[in-house]
Amino acid sequence: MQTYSIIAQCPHTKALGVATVSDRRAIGAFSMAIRPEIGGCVIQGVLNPLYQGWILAELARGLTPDEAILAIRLRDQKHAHRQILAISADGIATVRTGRNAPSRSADYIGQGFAVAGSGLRDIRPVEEIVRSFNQTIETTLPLGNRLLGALEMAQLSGGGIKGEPQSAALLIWRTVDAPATDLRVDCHRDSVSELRRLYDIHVAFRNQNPALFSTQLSAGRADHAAE
Amino acid sequence: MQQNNQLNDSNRQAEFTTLTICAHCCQTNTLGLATISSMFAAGAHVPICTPGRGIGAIQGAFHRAYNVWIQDAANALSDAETILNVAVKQDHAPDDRQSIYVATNGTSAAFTGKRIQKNARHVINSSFALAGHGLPSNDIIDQAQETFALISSEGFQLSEQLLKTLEHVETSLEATHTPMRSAALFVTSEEPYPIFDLRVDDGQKPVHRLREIYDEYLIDDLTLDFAFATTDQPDGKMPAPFGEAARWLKRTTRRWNRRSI
Repeated sequence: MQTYSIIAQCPHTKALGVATVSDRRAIGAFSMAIRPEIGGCVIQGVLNPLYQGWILAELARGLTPDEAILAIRLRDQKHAHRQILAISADGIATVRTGRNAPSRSADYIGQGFAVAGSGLRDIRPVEEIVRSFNQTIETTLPLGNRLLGALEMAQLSGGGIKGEPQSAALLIWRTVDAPATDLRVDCHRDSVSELRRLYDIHVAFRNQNPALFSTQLSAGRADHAAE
Repeated sequence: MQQNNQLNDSNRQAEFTTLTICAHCCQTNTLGLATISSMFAAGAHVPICTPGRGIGAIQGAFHRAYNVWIQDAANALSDAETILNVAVKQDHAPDDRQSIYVATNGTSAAFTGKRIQKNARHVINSSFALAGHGLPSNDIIDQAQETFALISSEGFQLSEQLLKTLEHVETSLEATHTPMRSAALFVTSEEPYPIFDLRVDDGQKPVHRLREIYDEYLIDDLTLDFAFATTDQPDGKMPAPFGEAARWLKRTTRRWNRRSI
């Protein structure tokens, strides 16, 4: 299974975000989770969807992402087959690639973000994500735009995921009561381009229909201005 | 005065059509939800899942806090109506919303706010609940209820029951020229992750596309996903090679899925 993902925090809004693309269908259903004000994680390689709950629980206990991943290794004898990305609410990101993870796996830890790919044809997508995301680090672009831009560059790198099946997902969450940006392309020939199309619609839709997305603190006003 | 009217207009809900069915299968103890909407990416906002306890939905004006309120209530209570009431009572504007909840103990509840759009209606049954608003007529809800009850008696899996009901609803809405945009299927058991969590966020025939993804996803599930862990077996199993047995299962599953009701 080819998968690559990026997990990051927006330095301006402190929103946490994940973007992922895979040659498996509906990758967004099982591989990623964010709990606002706690942290987020992605699991790839050999999937174990219990990881999301485990990691978020450890982060909620106050462990750092590295400590959370180490704590979970004790519960999972097959941890060496997995690739895990995690980020805390304060933007400390980490990634761990098990020694038995699928071949041609790569990872990178940056300032406020982490990138990982597993089972890839080559590691160019991971390099492109890192390069592209670093290029926008000083900008005020919304986190969704930056994450998607990085995935788009990875797909253009030559080592990207081609043809069907493939799926992609984008999840961004800022505060507990704010509506999340939660977009999924569960099966598409060009999932990243389709995800970009959905993202553009999403931004316009939120602006046109603010009354649809109430928050507890501000009834009838969408808290969508900054992701 | 004119300015005030403009402000009011900007806060008024756009008129969308959404229909959601939540159900519990007592034979397999699975919970499921299926939704179809004229709204973009409804599947991101509608489901409220409390694995092993119940499943719910919110539509109309969405409110993220319903997830938290219902999960908290479901941890302490078991009756669906009591759980839903806890959420509705905490809501600052319940009349803008429509919510349903089906619990694993065979109770179900629904609430339709007074300010929800035309032809808003809900139906509750011991094992399922249906709610819809903005529909061309209330007959759509009745037909969906009858379809689900009929399919339930034919021994299909819950995911198939929900999807077939949604297909029936999509056909009915097409006949009334009501364009739909998004659909979702969500099925879970006692594990903290879903069995199915499939979405079409933007498409012309969303349920038709959802069916295609569902069929293909079953093949993935049969050939690749033996790696999934369970709470009892957290290490999971390792992926199995793509063998003749998987190919046979793939063929029979596709045939089985395509049986018409």
